[in-house]
Amino acid sequence: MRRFWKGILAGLLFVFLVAGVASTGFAGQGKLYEMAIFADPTTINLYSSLGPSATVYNSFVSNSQYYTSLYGNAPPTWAFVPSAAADMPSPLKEEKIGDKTYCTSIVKMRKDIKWSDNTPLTADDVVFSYNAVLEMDPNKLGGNWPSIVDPTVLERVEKVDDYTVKFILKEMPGLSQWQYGVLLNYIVNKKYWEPIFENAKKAADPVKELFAHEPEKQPTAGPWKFGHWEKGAFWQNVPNPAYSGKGEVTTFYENGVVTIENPKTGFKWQSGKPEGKVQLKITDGPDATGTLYRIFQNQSAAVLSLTGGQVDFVLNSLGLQRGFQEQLKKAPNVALIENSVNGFRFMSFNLRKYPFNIKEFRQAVSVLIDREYICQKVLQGIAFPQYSVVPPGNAFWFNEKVPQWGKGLTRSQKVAEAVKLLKKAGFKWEVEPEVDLEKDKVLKRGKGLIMPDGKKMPEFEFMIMTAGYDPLRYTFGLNIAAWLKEVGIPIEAVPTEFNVVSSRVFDEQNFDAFMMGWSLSLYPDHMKWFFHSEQAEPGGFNPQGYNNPGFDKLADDFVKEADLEKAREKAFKLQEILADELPYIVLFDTPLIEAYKTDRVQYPYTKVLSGLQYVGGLTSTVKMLD
Amino acid sequence: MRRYLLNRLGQVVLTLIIYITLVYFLLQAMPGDITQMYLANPRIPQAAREELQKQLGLDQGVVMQYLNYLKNFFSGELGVSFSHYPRPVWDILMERLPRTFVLFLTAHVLSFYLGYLLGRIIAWRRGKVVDYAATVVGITFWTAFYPLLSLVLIWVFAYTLKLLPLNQFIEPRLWQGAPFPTNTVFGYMVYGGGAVAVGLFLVFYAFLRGLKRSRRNTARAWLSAFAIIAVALAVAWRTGLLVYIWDIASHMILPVCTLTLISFAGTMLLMRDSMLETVQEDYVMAARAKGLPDTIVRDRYAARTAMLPTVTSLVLSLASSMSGGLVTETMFSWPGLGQILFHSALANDYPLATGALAFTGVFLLIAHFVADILYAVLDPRITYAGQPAVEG
Amino acid sequence: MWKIRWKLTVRGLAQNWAVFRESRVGMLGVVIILLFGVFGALWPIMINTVWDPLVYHPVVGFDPMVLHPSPPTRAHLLGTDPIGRDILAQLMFSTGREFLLGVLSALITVVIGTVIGTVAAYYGGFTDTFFMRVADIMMLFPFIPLLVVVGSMVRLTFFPFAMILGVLGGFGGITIILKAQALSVKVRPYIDAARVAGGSSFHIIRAHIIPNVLPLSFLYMMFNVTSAILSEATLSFFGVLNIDMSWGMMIHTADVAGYLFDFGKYWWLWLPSGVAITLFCAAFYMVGRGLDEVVNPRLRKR
Repeated sequence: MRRFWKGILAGLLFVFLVAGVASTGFAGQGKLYEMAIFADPTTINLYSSLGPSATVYNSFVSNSQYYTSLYGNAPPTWAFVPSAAADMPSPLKEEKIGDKTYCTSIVKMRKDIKWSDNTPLTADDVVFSYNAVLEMDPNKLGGNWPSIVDPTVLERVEKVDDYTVKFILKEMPGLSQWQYGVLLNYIVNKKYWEPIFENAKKAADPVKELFAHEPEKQPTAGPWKFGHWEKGAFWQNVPNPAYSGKGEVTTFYENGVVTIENPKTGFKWQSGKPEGKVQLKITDGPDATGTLYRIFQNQSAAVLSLTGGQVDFVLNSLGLQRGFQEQLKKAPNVALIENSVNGFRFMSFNLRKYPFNIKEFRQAVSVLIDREYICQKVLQGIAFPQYSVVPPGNAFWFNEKVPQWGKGLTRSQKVAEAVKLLKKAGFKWEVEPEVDLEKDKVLKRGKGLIMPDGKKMPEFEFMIMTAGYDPLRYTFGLNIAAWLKEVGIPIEAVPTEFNVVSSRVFDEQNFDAFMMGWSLSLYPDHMKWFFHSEQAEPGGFNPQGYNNPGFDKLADDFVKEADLEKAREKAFKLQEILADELPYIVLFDTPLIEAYKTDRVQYPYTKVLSGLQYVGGLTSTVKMLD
Repeated sequence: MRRYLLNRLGQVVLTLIIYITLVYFLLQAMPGDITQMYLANPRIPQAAREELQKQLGLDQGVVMQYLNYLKNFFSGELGVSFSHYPRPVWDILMERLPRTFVLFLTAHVLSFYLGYLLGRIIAWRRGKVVDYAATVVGITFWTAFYPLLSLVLIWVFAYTLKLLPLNQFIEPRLWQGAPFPTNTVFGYMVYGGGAVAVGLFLVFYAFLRGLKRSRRNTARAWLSAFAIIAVALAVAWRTGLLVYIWDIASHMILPVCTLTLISFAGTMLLMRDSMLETVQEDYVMAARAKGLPDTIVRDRYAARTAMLPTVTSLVLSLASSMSGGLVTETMFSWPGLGQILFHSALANDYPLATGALAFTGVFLLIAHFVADILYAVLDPRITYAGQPAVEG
Repeated sequence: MWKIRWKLTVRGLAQNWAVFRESRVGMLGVVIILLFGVFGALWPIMINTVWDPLVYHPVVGFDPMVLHPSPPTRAHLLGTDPIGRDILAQLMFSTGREFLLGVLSALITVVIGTVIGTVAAYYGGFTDTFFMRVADIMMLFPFIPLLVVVGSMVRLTFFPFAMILGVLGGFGGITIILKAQALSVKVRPYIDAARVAGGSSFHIIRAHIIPNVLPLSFLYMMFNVTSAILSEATLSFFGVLNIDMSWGMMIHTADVAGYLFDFGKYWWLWLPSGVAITLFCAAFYMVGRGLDEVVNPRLRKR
């Protein structure tokens, strides 16, 4: 017995000894910017990083940290600005080359951009970055490549002189293919990558060979270059010593004009004549001496580390849940920021089936759903109601005037309104619902809904998420079912696992109704993809089978439209049609909440669509406090 | 004996094939595949989707895929991960194995030792307060809800008291410019730790068991033990490894303690029961009748025999340590094999999930084989512990 | 004949109960299980009399009067969870389900294990080898990881999950133990006597072997209840089950909403369910330990 206690004592002593040494080890982190992420990135290689195994973690730690592109969207306004280009591309014009007619544009480049090995970034690098991908076939590279270097649009890129390139396009591109596509492609170092492409081409499976390369030593032109990656533990980036953006000032004016000025190299650019107050002035750094991404396996751990001072910011594309917010509010030196996101959760019916194809039926459903009640009461402000397929946060494209079904009505008014809509379409009841509008009470629940064709409406299945997968959508789904049942719509909410929902909806198209969510890109061409009738076949993105020739035509025109203002008008019109016909009943989305350490970092701005995670934690413009 | 071994070996191989087949088809039967990930982005054309299916070999028939897999499995080729395309599955498993191995090996050995000591004591004092207290406390930990227990311990020791490092398995600030990857250090820990353990065992065996037991010899044993440890530490320090080993060790304390707490009761109760059976054996009675001191009878006579069933259970638990523990690894941000299995399953990465399951199966199978031989060699009696599936 | 057998059974049970009562650990387990039984039985009474189903429903209930998660108040004795559901109601509701899950899956395991074990022992030869190899393979599967893998691809619902747990367990290690027990019975002289007297195999297995294996089966059933509940809780915690409410789900809900971070402050979100899981499992395990002394005479006090 005594020996046993001695052993325990010795063990405890050892533990405290180790603990003592461990905790005194490394106090100062200096100007190292540390962030938390929740999974390993999959690769250092850009081609694989944007390929099929693209993850959000790859984009946090590498893509825009390492590479520049000809143009970019400058946060927080997302204005279209040149980055490696010196000015806007020349207007697209038709040109006969050989015996074919192409569409061409000329881009002049900046002469002051250098790779981290101190060689200049020239037209050769740009031409290589495009043509090598085209030669590999973007479809084979997969992932995001077909949408960036779109082979249906881009023929090739030619060098005009050392700092000028010419784009040769197969047809007149729309906004999504040109400004939001081809021109955003990352530029890689030709000297480094050319032999690797040559090697890959000789292999049996060129794509696999290319993806397998880990370019630890490649020169970069962005603010950072690769430092160290201990898989499962951390990823570290070190500053690019030759970074030409250092000290560059970007200014946003009240009238939307953006100016870029580099005092070191003398480069200047402005999008128009600046007027009004300066809204924001950002000086590029980086100020941090390095970035360190710590990899955690669960959220609680990351948040504990934030309050404990191991990390300065948590990079999480889903933001922080409400429990964390409430507890972090009181934590010292922690600031919370809230931003809207670009996405929505929705429910949708199989429009091939009767009576789901009746417009009024869907409108009645939309009226019955009390988004405000759920968001404010049940979910207590962790979600906000949404009515349009373009979220309000995407302010440029959002149409404020879309109809908002049933907004502001009381429970009984909603029931009355829904009954009116259903009656208009020819529905009847065995027992018609009755309401008392003054006392706001449903006196009699509807029973036995009879469809316009005289048959009793059979029970149908509404697939919602399981409580384990997403408690928010689960709760919302159950509430929707309860409300619809109140007026006699025979709906049955069935919690279903995500994989099953997605294969039944998208592959088999064997469903009645389901609930899901999308996250979107800035340019709202999702309106075409989700609702165009050409996407209605199995595997397409219009599994609900919405089919409206008028809409199809407008959507096609919208995507092809190259003029920003005209595109906007068309987008507004599309939103109106969708809000009236309701192929999607848009429900809600959650704002993105993030937290950072105020005694460690200072951001030039914190208000930006989808939050600071969307801009990678602002690694190069953040000020480190010591 | 030889024939028995060969026969058993044949059965092992057959079992392995059946096991892999089961795992393979079980995972094949699951809904969804990697190309579904493409659904999340509507801009990706159908062509790219088909291209990927071809690249990953999903367009071939299931039987062909299976035969290929089986053939490759026995040539050590586990295929290419979907979600880490094109990293070989084998690479990923090998990257995770050392971390899992070191953590769980330490924890299992520790909890075995603790359980053995306690089991010996409480069996000897059966019916006393110690017996009841240890049993009830042990069972409570044994059946405690593990994720919660680990969160509580993290919160108390790492967050509130700040005694131990918080999460992760290394401190990135220290490892930023490290001249070698963590797996090298883990490797040295395994080899070095193994060498030291063997050295210590030999020293104690020689001085305490083989030679005459005297105060002088005991002192010598302890001196040599310290010398061995000192030499090991000096070597580690000279090569610059010490600070890194130290870092990993300090991050291991919390998970190891948690694992030990939750699993020592298994060995303890097994040891207790086994002791109770042996103390009724004639030779133990005889030793007692001879008037030998209680502790000597307990430790030298009863415990040694009683240990046999617990040893076999240790062998099995060592093997299961290869599969890691999803709960431990998630709660303590320890990226091991359990984690990779979970994430590959969530990402529909069949090759990786199949590989990880098959891999752990091989270890378990070998352990069963070894345990069987131990049974045959050491003791014909078969004892089995009813153990809840706390950690897998 | 029938009456005599009944009397013998009763006497046997009484004797066993006397032995069992000696085990304090076992009795502690029985008391805890009884308490849980009462607690679970309260659920249908409460929801039909005292509690308004709209507010106290464990899954879709919601109390609009207070902010959630609310600490314990008079209306919600154990507070509410992040989406406004009453914790006490969830706890009570789940108790019955945990009993059902644990006992159902353990029963399946034991029935399969006993039948296979005795059959394998009685017939030997190929039957024996076959089932023992199956058991080997079953024991190869890392239990929890496998269920997590399956669960994360097809979210399992309550009954399929109980079935899978039961069946996986039934073909596994338990058959080996029960077979060993059955073997020791098979070699006893009265089995030979019964065979000589012309008893059919079925009769011998049913009337002579199974009754002697049953106590051990019952013992392992207790251990299996424990492991079933723990598996359910762990899988629920990782969100890979499609079960609307259970103790594990309660902790999962608190975890995904970010409340398992500052322990002291939101204790009512995890403590009741955490304690319930641990106590419940421990109780069954303790009963198992107590039974061990009944089944295994060498462990008894002298």
